[in-house]
Amino acid sequence: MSQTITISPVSRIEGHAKITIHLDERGNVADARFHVNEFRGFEKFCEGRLMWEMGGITSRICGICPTSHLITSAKAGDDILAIAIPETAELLRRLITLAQWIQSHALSFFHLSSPDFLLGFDSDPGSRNIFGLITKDKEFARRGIRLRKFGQEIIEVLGSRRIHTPWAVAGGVREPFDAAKRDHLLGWIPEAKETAQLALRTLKSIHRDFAADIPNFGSFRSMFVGLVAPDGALEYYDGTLRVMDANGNVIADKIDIHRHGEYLGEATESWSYLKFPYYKPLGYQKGMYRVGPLARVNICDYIDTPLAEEERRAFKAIAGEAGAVNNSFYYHYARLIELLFAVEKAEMLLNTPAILGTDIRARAMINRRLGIGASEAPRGTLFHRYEVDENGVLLKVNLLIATAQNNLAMNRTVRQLAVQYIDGNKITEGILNRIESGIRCFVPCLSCSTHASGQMPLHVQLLDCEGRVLSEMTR
Amino acid sequence: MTKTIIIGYGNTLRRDDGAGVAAAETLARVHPEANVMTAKGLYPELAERVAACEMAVFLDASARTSNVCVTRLTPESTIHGAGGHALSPGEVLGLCCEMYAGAPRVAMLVEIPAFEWGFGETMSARTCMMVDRCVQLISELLRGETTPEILAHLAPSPAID
Repeated sequence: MSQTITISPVSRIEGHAKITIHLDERGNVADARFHVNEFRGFEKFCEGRLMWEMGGITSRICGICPTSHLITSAKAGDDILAIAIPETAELLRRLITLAQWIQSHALSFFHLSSPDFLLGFDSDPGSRNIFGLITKDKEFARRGIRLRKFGQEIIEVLGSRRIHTPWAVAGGVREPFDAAKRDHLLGWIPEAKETAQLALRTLKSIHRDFAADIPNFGSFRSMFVGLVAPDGALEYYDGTLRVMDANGNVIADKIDIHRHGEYLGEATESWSYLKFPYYKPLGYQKGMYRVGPLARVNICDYIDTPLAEEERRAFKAIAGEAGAVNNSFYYHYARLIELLFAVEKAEMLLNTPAILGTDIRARAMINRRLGIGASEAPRGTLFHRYEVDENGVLLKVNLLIATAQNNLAMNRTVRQLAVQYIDGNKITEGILNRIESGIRCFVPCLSCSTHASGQMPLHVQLLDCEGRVLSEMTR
Repeated sequence: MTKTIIIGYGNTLRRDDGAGVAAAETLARVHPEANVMTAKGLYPELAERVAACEMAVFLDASARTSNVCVTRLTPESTIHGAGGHALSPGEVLGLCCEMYAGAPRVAMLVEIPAFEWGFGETMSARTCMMVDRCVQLISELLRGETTPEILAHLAPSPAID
């Protein structure tokens, strides 16, 4: 008799999901599925709206990375207008994209993941949170909270609001910057840099402490996809797509984002509202790829800030002869490298005189019927694709979200953890914690990826081969 | 030290859920000198700002009351919400104690009755009236015409089921 384990809800991630673990007749793990069971349907109800409204609408998909949707939507709008935006507008959009990385990466590490690492997977779930972290190391927690605040502060200074700012528009941005605001933000840089470096030192010490667990956290071969700059540098706002295989070979490069549909397909499964994107040339399942920090730091040739580049070299050393770092646990490491990069790069941008320019918006009519925008959201590459009529009314909308692109990999991670830790037909707290933590490597944002709302509690079910629930845990 | 901070929070796209934000926005207009802010929800980064005040007033929509209610708050040291990045007022106060100089001497939650929670940016007529009542009460507090104790007496906290 085969069996299934269900974990529902999954906690400390954004959205709502459950996990089922299916056992075969002999009680071994046959499959594991990460189900996303909420639906909001942004792609459908945006049809009929004006493309000018899309920044405001799509930023409401999420409270964590609304800025990424705003910027990507504005870029799709630039494409429809067929214009190049002013230099100052691009610098400001780049700055707010970095701010999004800072606040989201700080949230991911300090608020969501570090309680697992510093307090241990087997510690009391009730205290495995920011309060538990404060008890363990007050200064560490305080610094983490302030680093996220710095990211939010940049967004608020530029866009007048911490979340859901309507500041970026097709053609540029609404408001310019000024020297007083720049100096205020520059004042944060030394502390932000120190905190990012502290986080990196802490994580590297954790790598030693969790050496036995790390090999089970989504260690498998896959491709990696992301944007890179024209010279191969780490990119976050623009660039072209690069695809790398598990051995570190670049198998497709300099792909214009307008052609992403030729390379990235979207499959569906009856048991989840989350789509399953895949690399088309290899087909569904074999075409599994990962996006986000692990992918970005793997695929880039270098990082154009000194401290982050030094860390990237250390990261690549982990791959050794494998060519690419294939273990999902190292998402955390890559994320902190990006966090350091974002702080360094923000400093560079703030010190660029043109950022104080006043030409911030180009204006034009509808000049194309198709617009595609792409940028690197904290969790990975984000695409907005709009088809419009001659008045800019949306006829079709497709949003390809980072978390969805990691869906196959998240399912593989859950399965690997289940195979490693499920023993018998009972779910234990330790199993629950490790599976949760495995998913959190990807920091999935299900609010974005399914365009669903709500928190993401954890619900795990263990099912037999006939679909009967053997064991169940909810947190 | 800033004397009082007023934080109105909620989702303005879910009709009456935006009552706290609406009350805060009105208070900011009526009392431009007051330290008023709005938020979609409460998050850990607020603690630093709250800890620097002597009094904190949280304004939120509530389904559990039919009149404006005031509850005195005490700091909480455990998290019940979304893993630490969406907090209750008591949890924000808890963070003030744990991370900074301490919580404000006086903290209160003002609950504004809410009835309609569907999609939309307009509040129900009943909630609009309650927002006005809330603004009136907090205005009296800001003008020194009442005290937190009297306020709690005038608008007692709802009975908890």
